[in-house]
Amino acid sequence: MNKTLKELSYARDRIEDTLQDLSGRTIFVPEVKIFNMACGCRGLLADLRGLETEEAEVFHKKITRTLKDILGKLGLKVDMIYARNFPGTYMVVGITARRFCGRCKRELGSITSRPDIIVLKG
Amino acid sequence: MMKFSTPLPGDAESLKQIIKELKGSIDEVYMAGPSEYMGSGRATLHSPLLEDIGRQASYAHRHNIKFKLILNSSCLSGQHLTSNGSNIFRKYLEELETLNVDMVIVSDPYLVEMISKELQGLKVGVSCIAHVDSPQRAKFFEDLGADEITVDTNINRHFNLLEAIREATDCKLKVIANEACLYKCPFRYSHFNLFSHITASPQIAIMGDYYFEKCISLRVREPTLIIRSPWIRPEDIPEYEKIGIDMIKISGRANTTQWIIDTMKSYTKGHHKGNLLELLDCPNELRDHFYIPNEKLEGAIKQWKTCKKSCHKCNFCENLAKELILRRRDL
Ligand SMILES: [Zn+2]
Ligand SMILES: [Zn+2]
Repeated sequence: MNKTLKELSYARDRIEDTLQDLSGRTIFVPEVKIFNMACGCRGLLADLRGLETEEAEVFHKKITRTLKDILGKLGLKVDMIYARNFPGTYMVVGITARRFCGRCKRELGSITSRPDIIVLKG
Repeated sequence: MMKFSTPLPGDAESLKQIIKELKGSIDEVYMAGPSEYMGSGRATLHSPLLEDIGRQASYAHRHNIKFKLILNSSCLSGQHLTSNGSNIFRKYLEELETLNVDMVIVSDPYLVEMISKELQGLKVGVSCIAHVDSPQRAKFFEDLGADEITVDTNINRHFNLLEAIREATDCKLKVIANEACLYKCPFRYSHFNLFSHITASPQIAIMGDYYFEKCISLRVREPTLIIRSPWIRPEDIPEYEKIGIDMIKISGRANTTQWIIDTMKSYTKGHHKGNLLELLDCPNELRDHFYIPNEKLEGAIKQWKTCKKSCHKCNFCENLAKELILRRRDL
């Protein structure tokens, strides 16, 4: 397996284990991907099942520490880490670590005012 | 011998493959009708044209297999009661009659009555979405004209009710074996309604399927819920035969053809080795995350047959879950 893919598979397991240990619940990470957007933003996205918004908030320091560690191994730098919930609920559906492009960096304010986003590290 | 009902994805190629692999062990096939006439209670992969339905019905008949169509929208928005809508539905149903569809399966009582009174060549079945969970409700649908009833999956493990329904009605009785919705699922009505509307009007752009995502999240956090779901193991089918259930229906028309064939084979042979979740019509994600050794569930039916379903006192399923459910990663 290619080195990045191996790291990604390790990252998926590690995110799952970390969240499971923190919450004391079974948590499932169905998919982890690295992305590169048309605007120039890039980063890592983990889809999530079983985590609740309150847990993401309470454990934000440990979650960001784990993610930064993983990102380091993948050679990715990051400006912001945030959790996204299903609008109107307390289900966290994903965690994103994102390196912003110039434009998105300036418009960063808009992301913090979105009700479906919890900034874990900004 | 127990009879089996098989889901079809909707395209002719899948039908041929399914019949080739399962011939001799299945009695009927079913699929959803075209969504431009009427939505249905679940996601639909292919929306067949009327000609396709006719061709597939004849193909099934040539192999001595009955062909049924599911029109089980849980909400028709009142269309069926308007003069325009009722004409459209009537024309559609008459068309299905001429195409030799053996039965349509509906959830709306009005449709049961109308079809049984006015379309002599078309039999009518009651969908599980009509939530038949008592002898009274079964009798009510029989009196309206139903030929067959698929009981509410919530009572799959309530043998006293199943037996009472059997005594109360002469309708053919079907039980769905592998639908893995939560026991007494609180999302069921809303989720069926959502699908009924979005299958009929695909232009509705939803933010996401809340019920689906919540249902998975709940089960990931609390795997006991997977054990409590009213699925039936292939090995336990004889228990249903004993009390006079006529047919086992396998759900999963939105799955791949190969999955349908594999699952059907386990059920018709009455045996499955490995992960129980492979058989259940549940999101792939649960199969990817959990492993439930089917062989180790041997005998659990004894408890479920007589269980009072007071989960907060009983803990039987909870203990089974702790003992049996593994994360696939830990295998
Ligand atoms: Zn950007
Ligand atoms: Zn459900």
